[in-house]
Amino acid sequence: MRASRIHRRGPSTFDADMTPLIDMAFLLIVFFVLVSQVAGAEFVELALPRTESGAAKRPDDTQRIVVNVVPARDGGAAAYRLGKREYAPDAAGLRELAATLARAMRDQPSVEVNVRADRATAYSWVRPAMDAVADGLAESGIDRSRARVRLVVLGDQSDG
Amino acid sequence: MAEAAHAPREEAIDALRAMAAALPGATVGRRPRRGLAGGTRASRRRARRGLGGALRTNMTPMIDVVFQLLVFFIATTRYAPGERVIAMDIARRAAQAPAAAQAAGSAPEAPPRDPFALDDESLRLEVAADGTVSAGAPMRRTLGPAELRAALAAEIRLPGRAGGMFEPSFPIVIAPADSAPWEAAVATLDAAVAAGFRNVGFERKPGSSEAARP
Repeated sequence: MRASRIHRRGPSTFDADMTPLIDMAFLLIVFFVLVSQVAGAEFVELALPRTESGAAKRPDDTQRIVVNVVPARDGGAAAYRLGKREYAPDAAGLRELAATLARAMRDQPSVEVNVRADRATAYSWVRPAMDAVADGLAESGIDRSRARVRLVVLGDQSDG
Repeated sequence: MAEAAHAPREEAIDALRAMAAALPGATVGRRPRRGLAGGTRASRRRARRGLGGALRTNMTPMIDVVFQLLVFFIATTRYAPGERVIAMDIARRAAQAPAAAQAAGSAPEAPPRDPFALDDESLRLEVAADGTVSAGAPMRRTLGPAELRAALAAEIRLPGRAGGMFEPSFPIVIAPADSAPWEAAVATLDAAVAAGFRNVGFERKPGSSEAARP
């Protein structure tokens, strides 16, 4: 009797099953790609102001918009940046920024605006960003008397 | 029983052979392996069971690349571990004269007012470019950034404590100079909030929606 030539070897097996490993690796890659895209849109490389006294709190999980004041040389601002869009630091750019913020506030009335600016940027370049938030609130027409702005600072690292 | 089970298998092998004959260059059964064909009996047994025969696609380069990508993205992702926020409310428009913004969590002012309380004006803190702070009307002092918090804490009026000029809800308006660095402005706000004031904000100039400098 001839033995079966196909089944003599037994079923084909992997010694180590690679599939879950590859699945996990791909999931992690997708996660980090997405995270780095989101983070890259929100965070402009700048040196945040340091604070010592601890009036600053950890950010919570509320919906937020991040407005970055992109630093230029000599304490100036090169642009205001919201997400991936940049707004010129002139009257037209700020009107556009306020309009964008107004749209966002209309879509999501509880949204809060984080303002990130470099510690060396002159106040005259940061104030327009905060004014744009107030103008955006006025433009949005939602029923809130005050706009919530959160100033992003570099907190004391020791408090965890 | 065993013969009956084998018969369809033999038929299947014949069918496979027929299919293989139609495909040029295809063989049925184990592929002849170079190098291992003439080994010892033990090595041939090992080769039969090993990965080489069953795994047609070589996964190793793909896993290598996947891990390279993984390490790259883990290493280049930036987190913001030390970031904190100071919440501040900005009044809707600069129309209300000293538009003091309210610090977060402030309570509405209590109705019974102290007859000796100061007028509803605000304490103005002017921040110069070098970070020194000159306090306005009722306080009239020039303070360095280091002593600011203690000086403000000494002026606050708290229940069960003697002295102090201002209620915690007394509006404090911070007016940084145009050239003052953002850090000095934030440090002043931080000092006022940390001293216990609940009604702290930046001064807003009416019609200041364009950059101050060209």
